[in-house]
Amino acid sequence: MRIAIILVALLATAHADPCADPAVTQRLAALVHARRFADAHHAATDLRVQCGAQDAWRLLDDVALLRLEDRAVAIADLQALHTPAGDVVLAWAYVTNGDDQAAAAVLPRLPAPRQAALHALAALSDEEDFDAAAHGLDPRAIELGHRYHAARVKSPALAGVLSAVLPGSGQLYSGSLQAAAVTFVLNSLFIGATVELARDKQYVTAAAAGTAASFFYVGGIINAADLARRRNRIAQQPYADELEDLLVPEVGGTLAP
Amino acid sequence: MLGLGGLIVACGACLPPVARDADNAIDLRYRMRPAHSTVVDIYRAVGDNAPSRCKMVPTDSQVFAIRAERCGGVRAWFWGVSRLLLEQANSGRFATPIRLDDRLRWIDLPGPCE
Repeated sequence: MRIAIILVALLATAHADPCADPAVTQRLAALVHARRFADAHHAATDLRVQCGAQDAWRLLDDVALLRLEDRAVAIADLQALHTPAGDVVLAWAYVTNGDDQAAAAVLPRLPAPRQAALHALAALSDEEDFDAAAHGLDPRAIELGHRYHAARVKSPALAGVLSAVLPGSGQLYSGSLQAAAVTFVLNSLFIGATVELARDKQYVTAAAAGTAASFFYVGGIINAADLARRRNRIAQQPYADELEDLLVPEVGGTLAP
Repeated sequence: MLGLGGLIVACGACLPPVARDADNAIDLRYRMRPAHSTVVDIYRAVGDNAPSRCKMVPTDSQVFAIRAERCGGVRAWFWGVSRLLLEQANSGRFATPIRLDDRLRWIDLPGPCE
């Protein structure tokens, strides 16, 4: 009897249609939720080949592709998808890319709470604008917004200015003594060499040293601002992720009930 | 001179957004796909057998190839210098670490070009 039951179960499993199994979609959503986007994209591609396109798989694949910065493919598919969740993800893609004109075309199609949530996300870089936009949303959003802004510890503009005035000082301000020392030494060497060579009337060599000096000088300014932005981003990212999950759960792999 | 100074400061202050880092090696490799050019491939073939190993991923040469294609050679050089200094900073405060090829490396994916 037991053997017969096992045989029947095995036969049922063998004949089960994986394309109709709701657990497949859940597994795909779990991959997106776990931020394994390349795996999710490959799984979604396999599913499309084996079973044809389903809206939920397409949406999850598009979210994965957006996260993998394959924007063109994802946006083209989202534009063709025309589902409520697809429109939310499409609007989110435009908003996060700063494409206000395209976002304005999609946002009116969304329900009011989703519109407000996306407006709040778009205003996240400015604390006052965010507070105004998030008014009326989940109170946790405002709290997370405050934490996000409090985590911004360095000003990239100030770091760039400092490094322009004294090479290396911007890196020091951003919190890297090693990068500051290297920037200061390299700039001193190249600028000093350029001046000395010009004084000795070796103009061709001085021009070559001056060109190298300019690359290290401008590169140092870019680096100082970049270090400050990176420091802010790493400190702010957990709050930004939490806010996104709270306000636009579709982009975290959460499927509509 | 003042204009040049202003340009340089603007250059440092108004940079394109930092690309969001990958969370795992598979995503990272997916996003590194455009980092192929013949010169870089030859350089990598030599570099991979050299005793010195790059702490960054993608490597400086791969990122230079991507940036040169996206933003042009001059910007790629400026950003190349910036990346060498980022490598010197060598800290989790500025880049996300990942274990790849049996060692810990810092992720720095090139962002959009403005």
